Amino acid sequence: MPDPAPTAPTSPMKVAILGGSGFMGYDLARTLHESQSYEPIVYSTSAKSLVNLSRHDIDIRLVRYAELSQIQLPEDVGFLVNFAHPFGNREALSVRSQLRILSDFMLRNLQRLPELRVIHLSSMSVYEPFAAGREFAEPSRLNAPRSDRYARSKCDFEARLGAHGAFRERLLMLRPTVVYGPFCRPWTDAILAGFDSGDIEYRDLGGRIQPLLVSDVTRFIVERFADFAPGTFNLAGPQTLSWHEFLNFFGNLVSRGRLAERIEPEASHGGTAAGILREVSNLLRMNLRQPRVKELARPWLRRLPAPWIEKLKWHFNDNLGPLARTVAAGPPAPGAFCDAFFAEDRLVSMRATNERFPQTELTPLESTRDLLSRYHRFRFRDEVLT
Amino acid sequence: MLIGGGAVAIEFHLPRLLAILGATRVEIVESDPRRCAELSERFRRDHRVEVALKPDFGCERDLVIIATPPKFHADYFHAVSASARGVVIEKPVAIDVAKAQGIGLAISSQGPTVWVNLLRRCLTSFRLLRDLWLEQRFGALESVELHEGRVYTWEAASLGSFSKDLNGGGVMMDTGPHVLDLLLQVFDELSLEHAWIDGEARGIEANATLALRGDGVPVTVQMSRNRNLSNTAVFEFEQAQCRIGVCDDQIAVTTRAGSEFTIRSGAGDSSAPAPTFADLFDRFYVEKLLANDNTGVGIDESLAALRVIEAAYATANPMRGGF
Repeated sequence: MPDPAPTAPTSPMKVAILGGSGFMGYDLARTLHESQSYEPIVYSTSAKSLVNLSRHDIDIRLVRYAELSQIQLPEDVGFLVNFAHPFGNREALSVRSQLRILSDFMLRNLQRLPELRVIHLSSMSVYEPFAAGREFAEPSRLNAPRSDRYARSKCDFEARLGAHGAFRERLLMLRPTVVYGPFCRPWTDAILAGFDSGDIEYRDLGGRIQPLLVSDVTRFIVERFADFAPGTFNLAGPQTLSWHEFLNFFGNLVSRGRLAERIEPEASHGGTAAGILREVSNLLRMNLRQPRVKELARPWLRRLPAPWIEKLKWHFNDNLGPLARTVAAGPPAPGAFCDAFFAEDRLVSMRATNERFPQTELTPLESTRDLLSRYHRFRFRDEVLT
Repeated sequence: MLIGGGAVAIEFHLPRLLAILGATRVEIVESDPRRCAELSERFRRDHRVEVALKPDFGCERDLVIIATPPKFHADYFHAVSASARGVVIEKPVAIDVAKAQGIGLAISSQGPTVWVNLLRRCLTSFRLLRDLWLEQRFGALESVELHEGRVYTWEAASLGSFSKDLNGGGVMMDTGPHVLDLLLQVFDELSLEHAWIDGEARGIEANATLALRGDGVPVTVQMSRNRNLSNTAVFEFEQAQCRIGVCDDQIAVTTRAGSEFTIRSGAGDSSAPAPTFADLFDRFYVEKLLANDNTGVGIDESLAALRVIEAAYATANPMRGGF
């Protein structure tokens, strides 16, 4: 594995990280901190997820969304890396308001600081809807379904940032695919915890993905500090795997549960009201992610009071993927891997990235076995650490 | 009076002050103007609740609850000790042993009754285990391991929990008082042999391991804010292993011969689920505050735990092998 700081500057370069309390932000902040060639400054809008960051001697600044409009980055900040994105109703702000605040913050600082460059991370959900066998390329028009507000907000975010031609040469938009690794809740913790707690049920895990290790994202970003290129770049893992293969890898690490195909019972509700409701709920959950179903449901949902809509979204995981309800590092909700999400291909083209950055190194899943085994024991076992 | 407008004060103390103790008036003191304004807005229709930025500490009050970051516990205590009949202090009782001793001194000279919010004194299992040990029910106690860790998702309103200045440290200051208090229900004395923590110099630890002696018995304690540990204490006796959930009332016993059974104190329902954090809060309010009884939750018990914590910070080695 190459050093993530190949040509680091002689004096520490200040790098601002917005939304740095998530697992990707943490990986970057820690890597920069350990390299001693960079000085990360983490801006976080929530104190909830600072457990990992606060272990280190890193400058953490808790700022509320509402305060972002007054925040000026220090003048000697060389890069701003943004992991933050609009998400639900934060601080009683709508997704639209959050989007405006975040993009204004970034654009205002680009205007203020002529040397500042920005790396903005979007995610795989931007590319929705995917199609079987299709590899999305960067010039492909982003066309997330109208009903998927999460993906659409990411598209809007990119569009807002990209619309300012004056800053185009100082803006890199990175689109990683399914990212996994230590402290990743949906694509690592939930899977490990799922196998730990028994068998994981599935219906169709035939959808293909290009899973990407979090430290590969970090390395790519750090390399861009020395070799910056504006534009939009996909970043995918080195292998195309089915969800079945991906999950099985984790199952082998845990050596407890296994993947178990769900056998649909003919009348599992047993005729009770609760059973029927459960069946209806499952049916809705399985189908609500279908774009056409979302379109049909939308006019009806609009008539509901806002708190009901929030509860329904929570219940049916709308917008956020089937593992969105994975909180802390607990097991996924029962049936989470039975979602139609896992039957769909979600593939992107790496051609532009490989052409511009031919040295990009990516880690095959199998090479992470030791790392993830150790992480599994750390995260889920009573192994005594001294 | 409720000093501190953070999550534990507003979501846990306030409802119980009103519902269990029947308080007719609660004055919330919040020193952050923004948070103060938020709380004023939230409670503007509740005539029982008043929110103040700068209160008059000299007014006589039946009960004062101090639920601020530990750095401020001692100062607030001294500000209200002459005018309050009772004071509840969130754990840890103070940011260091010296400040806790200062509180102890003030109490001994006609100060108010003090409760430290050591909720787990309301569990029955660890005292029961002590009885089993003293009765030699399963022979000699050979070793103890206690693992408490959850991924931290507390809806903190500020950086307080992540500030060495305000909190004094990380998981040892947060979880340590509870964990050590469980052990102090079993052992008369706890002494520190070694400590390991994973925080850098100015960072605060998410993981801590303590090697202790409890009345001569080797005890290993692991605490974490970023691991999902089993949250159990395992007592290895000559003839049996006893496992207790760190928030549970019952003891699961596996004898060396292989038989398994559970024990719980009194006529408790063996099928009852373990109490939640909210349940323990209710118990504390009913069994300790309503009953005006601070047995086991006074200053002395808190000082014993704080001494171990302070010694651990002073001598801790950097932890290897974590993430």
